[in-house]
Amino acid sequence: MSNQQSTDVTKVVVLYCQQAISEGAKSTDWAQDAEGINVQAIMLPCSSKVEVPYILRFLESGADAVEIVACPEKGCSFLIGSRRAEKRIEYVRGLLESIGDNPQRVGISRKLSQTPDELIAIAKARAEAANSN
Amino acid sequence: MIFAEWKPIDELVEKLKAHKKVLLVGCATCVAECAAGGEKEVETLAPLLSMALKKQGCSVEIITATLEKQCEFEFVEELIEKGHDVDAVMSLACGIGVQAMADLFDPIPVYPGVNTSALTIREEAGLWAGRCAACGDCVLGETFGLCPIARCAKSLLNGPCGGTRGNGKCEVSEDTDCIWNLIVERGDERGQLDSLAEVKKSKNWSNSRHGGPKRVIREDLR
Amino acid sequence: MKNLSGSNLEYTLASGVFAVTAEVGPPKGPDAGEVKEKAAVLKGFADAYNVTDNQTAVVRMSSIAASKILYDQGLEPIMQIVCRDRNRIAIQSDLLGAHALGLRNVLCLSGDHQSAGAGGKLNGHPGAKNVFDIDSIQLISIVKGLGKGIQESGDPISPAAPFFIGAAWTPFGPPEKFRTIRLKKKIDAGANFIQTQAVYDIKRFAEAMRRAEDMGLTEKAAILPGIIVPRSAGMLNYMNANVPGIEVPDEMIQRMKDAQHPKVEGIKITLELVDAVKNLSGVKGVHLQAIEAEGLLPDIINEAGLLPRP
Ligand code: SF4
Ligand code: SF4
Repeated sequence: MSNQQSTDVTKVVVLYCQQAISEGAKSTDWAQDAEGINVQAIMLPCSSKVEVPYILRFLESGADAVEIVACPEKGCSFLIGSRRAEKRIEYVRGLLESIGDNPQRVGISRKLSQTPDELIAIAKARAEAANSN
Repeated sequence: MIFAEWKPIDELVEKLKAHKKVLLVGCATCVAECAAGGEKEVETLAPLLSMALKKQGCSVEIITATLEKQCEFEFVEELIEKGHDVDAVMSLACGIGVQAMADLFDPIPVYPGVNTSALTIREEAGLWAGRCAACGDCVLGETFGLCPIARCAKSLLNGPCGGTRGNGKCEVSEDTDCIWNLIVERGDERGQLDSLAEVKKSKNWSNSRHGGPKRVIREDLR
Repeated sequence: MKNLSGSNLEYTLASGVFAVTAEVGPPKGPDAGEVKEKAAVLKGFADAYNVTDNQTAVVRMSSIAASKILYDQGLEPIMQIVCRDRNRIAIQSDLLGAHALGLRNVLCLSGDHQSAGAGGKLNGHPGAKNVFDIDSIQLISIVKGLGKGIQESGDPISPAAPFFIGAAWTPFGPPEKFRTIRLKKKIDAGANFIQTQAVYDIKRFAEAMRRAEDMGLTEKAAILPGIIVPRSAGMLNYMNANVPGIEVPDEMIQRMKDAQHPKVEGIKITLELVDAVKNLSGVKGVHLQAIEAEGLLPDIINEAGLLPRP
């Protein structure tokens, strides 16, 4: 979106469920390997811990996009954690729309055992979606 | 509980535009239960308003607080220090809380962030429904515990209007039960339909808002 | 029945003549000419004419003014009053005014909720504040009280303002077991005549009438079943599905569907319905409506053998 500092590198916060990633992504180092975008990786015990205010604070304080990486519904060890995270993303999208902002600044992906490369690809896709439209 | 919901964001932004520092205050009681003005909602609305104001080129600092109860002066007083340098307050409490804030922060403007609209019960997660309209002359004892004032779109006292839908829903909404249909069903189940056969006289509304602003004094408590 | 109010409808019913009522909906504008035109079409074909009160919550010329226009044209109005827009003060004031103008029949209704707005076809006024200070049954009691010279509050008036009091009955609306009790409440409160929601299912209506008769209601009030002239299968389908309390038998819808000339068939059905309700014990007349086609009524009333009117 035009009102984000388009000259700067797009900043994406990736909040990921420790259950949703592969061994290779257990540290947050992979974030440094993302080229062309600035990734801040935050590992969580479960995606259900991601509350709406938490997501909005990132957006308000400079992140261009926020992506939650959660387990698929069936793979969620807390059963409804990832479904909840999805509903929250839907809610935040509605809020962004209500202030005339791009709802694609936030998103969620759900898949088990994501590798560092996959995480980077996800972050890039979110950055693109946030900047389009 | 007292039910409230956020006002449209545009309306809030319009109110805050000209201010420099705003205190956004929630209440941990009813409005927290109906997810409009508890701590979570305060912390959601604060960044959202900041973003919206920034988009309009306004730089407004928003500080937040959530009181245990905004409808009692003792609790509101706790905020006076925190809010000593703000030039506006936005309250997410019901109309009672907003007015308590307005009294204590006078002459600083206190804006409502929510619309207070009903006295509800949470029927299930994410679903609230009206139960009482504070009519001042409760008839629940004659209607098997189902309120025809708050729950009938026409506040009828003598039975259902001709608008009850074939499926027992109210004429105003496919999703709302015709409360008179339920009252009759409950009465019938209890074998007490006869008690609804008597003509109920015109109601005396004067013990509600219709009688003028409420003011009650209990000498035993003074 | 004694004729106390000076209502011609009351007199007709008291003398045992099968009554006919029709409807004249006031216009959305201020043109008295529109009311007069409708009056000219229907004059002499019914004993009294219902004048609706902002029906479906759409603002129209007031029922009291339109009633007076009819009255001046020599038609006897039945002024409808709904509880949605006026409190007991305004309603009693209007009733006294209506009486002073010579109006003698009132039909007491709850009124469509203001969210109705002509079923979404017009804007209407969904943001209006509704009143519902009293309900239709309490309204009946109030009208009855004015007839005895007492206001709702108990304050006396002199002279009294007697009216011939009407009420509505929706025999098939849920909860069905309560609908006869509610009819009784209206009659207990003081209703003298009853106009029903449109009837198409004669068998079911006959059962409802029997229940009313068993409760002694048909002796205390004159029941006039409503009949709306069917114009097409689509219209019957729509009413069957969407209008609370209207039930149309499948055969009737099919009959309209199969008809080569649905409009002619609709008139035939109307005549059959009039004939059928005439033979039901306790029925004292009919309330005929032809929506947006009032011009059909004179012929129908004639063919039904209901002319001349007294
Ligand atoms: S009757 Fe009156 S007091 Fe009782 S629940 Fe209904 S609105 Fe509230
Ligand atoms: S349908 Fe039932 S709840 Fe709705 S207005 Fe009529 S009586 Fe009241």
